[in-house]
Amino acid sequence: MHISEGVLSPPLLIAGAAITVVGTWIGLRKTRPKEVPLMAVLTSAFFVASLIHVPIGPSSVHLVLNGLIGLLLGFGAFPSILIALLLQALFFQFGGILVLGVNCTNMALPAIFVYILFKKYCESEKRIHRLVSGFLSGSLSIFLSTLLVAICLYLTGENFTAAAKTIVYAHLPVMIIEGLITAACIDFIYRVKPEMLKIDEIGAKNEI
Amino acid sequence: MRYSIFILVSLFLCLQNVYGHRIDVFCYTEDNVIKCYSKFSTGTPVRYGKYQVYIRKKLIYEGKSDDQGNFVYKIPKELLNNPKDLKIVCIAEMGHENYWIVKKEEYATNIQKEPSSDNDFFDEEEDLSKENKTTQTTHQASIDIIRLEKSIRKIIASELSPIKLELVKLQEPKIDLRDILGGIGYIFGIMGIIMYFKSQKS
Repeated sequence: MHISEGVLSPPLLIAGAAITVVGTWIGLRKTRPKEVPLMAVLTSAFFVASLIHVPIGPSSVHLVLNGLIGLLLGFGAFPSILIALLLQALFFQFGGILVLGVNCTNMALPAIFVYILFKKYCESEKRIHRLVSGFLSGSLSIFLSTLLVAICLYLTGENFTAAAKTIVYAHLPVMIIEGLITAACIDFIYRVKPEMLKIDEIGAKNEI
Repeated sequence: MRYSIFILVSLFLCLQNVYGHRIDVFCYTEDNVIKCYSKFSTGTPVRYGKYQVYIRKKLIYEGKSDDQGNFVYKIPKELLNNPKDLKIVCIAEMGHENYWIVKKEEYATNIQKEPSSDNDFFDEEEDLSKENKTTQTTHQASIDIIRLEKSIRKIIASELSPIKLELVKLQEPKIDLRDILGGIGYIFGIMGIIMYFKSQKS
């Protein structure tokens, strides 16, 4: 999912950086002080999860967890993913500094999208709603991220259909795995620590 | 609850082969060919990865690696006569790529000593044996020192080839636990700073 340094054209890099700056600014403004520890934990999870890779064809794919980050942090996904990607670029040379904005946009925008779409269903008292919305959040966020990566490559000169097909097919297993992980995590969090989902009234106690 | 943990543990166990995301490319010269090897950061070779050879920004050759991640580029005669730095780029789709610079000195040193004949080591042996048959007395004089040097160089190069590969592999930055823990430490530090400023405002 990380696009390497030197692949994309300068206008695309500038656009990605601009979106990231605006997204991070909004994310930081919307984040309350008591949410910062949760952001730290999720950023660490993102930082480590990207090290788990699955070899597919000539490339390899890895866990992203942007769906889970989106559901739990909302707009806070932007600063969270930005910090994790920056450290990955510095420590492991994943992606790069110049391409950081584009990589962050590709992963954070879908996170916010699933937050807007599925957040209320994840807070539902019905377990099936939580599981389905969690699964869809995890899968859809990866799908949208792959589409954004394909669009970036297309804008740099690659054939969109070929690039999109390769990337989406390669990430199909990750979509399923991420969907399952996100569903399991949302369900687990709802039962154990529902305030992480910003639910004030704890109606889930009876289900434990 | 138990099922959730079971599913998560099972999923992680399913991912037996874990691989790094960055591509590493290693190249070295051996007898007028450049041998390259590419892999993801924890060991999987980049199978059928696209290779491009550039002189400055001009593409001069394009090829693919084999299923072991190996790629061989035979240096053309024009380049041997007029050596230049080469940039060898490996592309593994989905925006993953890396490169290795082969300095002209790496293959230029061999060219200066290159004999005019293209015979390989075995031809030289045959030549020598023919000479033995024709005359014993002129044997010592007939040994072409340049050819002998070439043959020795060839043998040494083939012997050193795996060692060279190991040496370039040693240059690869590896991910270790210290980096991971350090990264997590940085994250908590940065979040601490954010929290400090947030609490100041509120």
